[in-house]
Amino acid sequence: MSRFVLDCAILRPIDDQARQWHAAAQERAWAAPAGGYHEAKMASALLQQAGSTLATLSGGKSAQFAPDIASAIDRAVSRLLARGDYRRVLTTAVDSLMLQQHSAAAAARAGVAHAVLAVDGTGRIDMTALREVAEPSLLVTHAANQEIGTVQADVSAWLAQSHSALILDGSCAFGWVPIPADWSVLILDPRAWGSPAGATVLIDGKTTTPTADFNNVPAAVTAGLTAERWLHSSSTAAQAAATAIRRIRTLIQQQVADVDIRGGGDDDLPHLLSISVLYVDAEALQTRLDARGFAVGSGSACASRSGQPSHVLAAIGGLTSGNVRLGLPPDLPQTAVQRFVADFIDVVDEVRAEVGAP
Amino acid sequence: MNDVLDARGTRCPYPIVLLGRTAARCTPGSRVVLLSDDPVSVHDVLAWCRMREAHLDDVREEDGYWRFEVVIGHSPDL
Repeated sequence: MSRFVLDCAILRPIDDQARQWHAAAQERAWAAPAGGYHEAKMASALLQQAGSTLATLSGGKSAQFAPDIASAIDRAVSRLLARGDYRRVLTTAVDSLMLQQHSAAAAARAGVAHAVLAVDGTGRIDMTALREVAEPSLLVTHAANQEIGTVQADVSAWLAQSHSALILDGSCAFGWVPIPADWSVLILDPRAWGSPAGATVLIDGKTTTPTADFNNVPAAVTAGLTAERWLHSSSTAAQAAATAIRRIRTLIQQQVADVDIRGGGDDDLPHLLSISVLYVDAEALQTRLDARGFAVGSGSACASRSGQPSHVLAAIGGLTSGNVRLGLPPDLPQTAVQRFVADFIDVVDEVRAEVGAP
Repeated sequence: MNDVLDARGTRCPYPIVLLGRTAARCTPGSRVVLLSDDPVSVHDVLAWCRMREAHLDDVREEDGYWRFEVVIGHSPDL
């Protein structure tokens, strides 16, 4: 039985090509770039090249690297607060808890207030609430939501009027949809396009500076190579994913009663879908789909290590129980889509029968 | 007389399943009270009402649980 990973919103399996690039980079770029000898200078040159590639691909001026996305957020927020006179840091109610927590912590260290913006029922920023923020502020948010696929609202007019700045986490949007160009810092986690962990990218949209020394050069090099490869095929992948997601959405809406589906719209990320099924235990859904060869995510409390439901679904008034999250990989075969829908329907019927659903 | 469903001690989806089973035998306008100590119920009873065209008339936090008062279906009183 073939197996398909349909949980690729923020992490994608690393394929053979990426593994080979990484192995080659580990051979050539193992040294710390700050060293004064040949191998260190080679590593330094490869690091600069990776930074330049990623900045160019993203439409930015320069790139830096951080070990992970949490430290990237810390650094981006702290540096912008140090550079500008921002009165508060804003995040939204549907940003990842990690982004919200690290932004709030960086704000607190700088003695700046933090506030959480309300969102509408689609997960977009409440623009009425945003326009009430007239003082220069630092907005830290996602380019598109990693759970429900909503592409975030256009805040460019507010940025200009309030002399504010924007830090965007573009990881799950990169390559799938155009990312608006008005950010000051764009954060990209290369795991989202199948690169190894260890080198999250901070793209500076305003200033050109050399890429600072960073010791995990192999991860940085691989991030640049895989990004270039991904963007070469991403628009075709996006069209195919949008077709698949629309098909999954339509078939499930037609054949499964009492479902709350988010994503799959024209303005959403093309490869994500959040499906909440009434009267169903999400952990059972996830486990049974896994046994049938489909790895899916979930935003339900019972399927989460924390025991907490998705704060994103809660913020938009969505059904949090019985939730399955899909993040399609590129090149998913049509046969996999058909088989997934058939298996999903079977599993929902099984679990509903077992719980005695009305 | 309102139906009172005590789902305390159970976890999702059981509080909502209980609500759904009860609603299936109620006439429009009936009031159902659900007691649940599952924190997920706070979100999901509201979502259930939206999906099943019911109305969450009242919710209050009692001693370690929530009390939801739901009006089933459409009612001339709404």
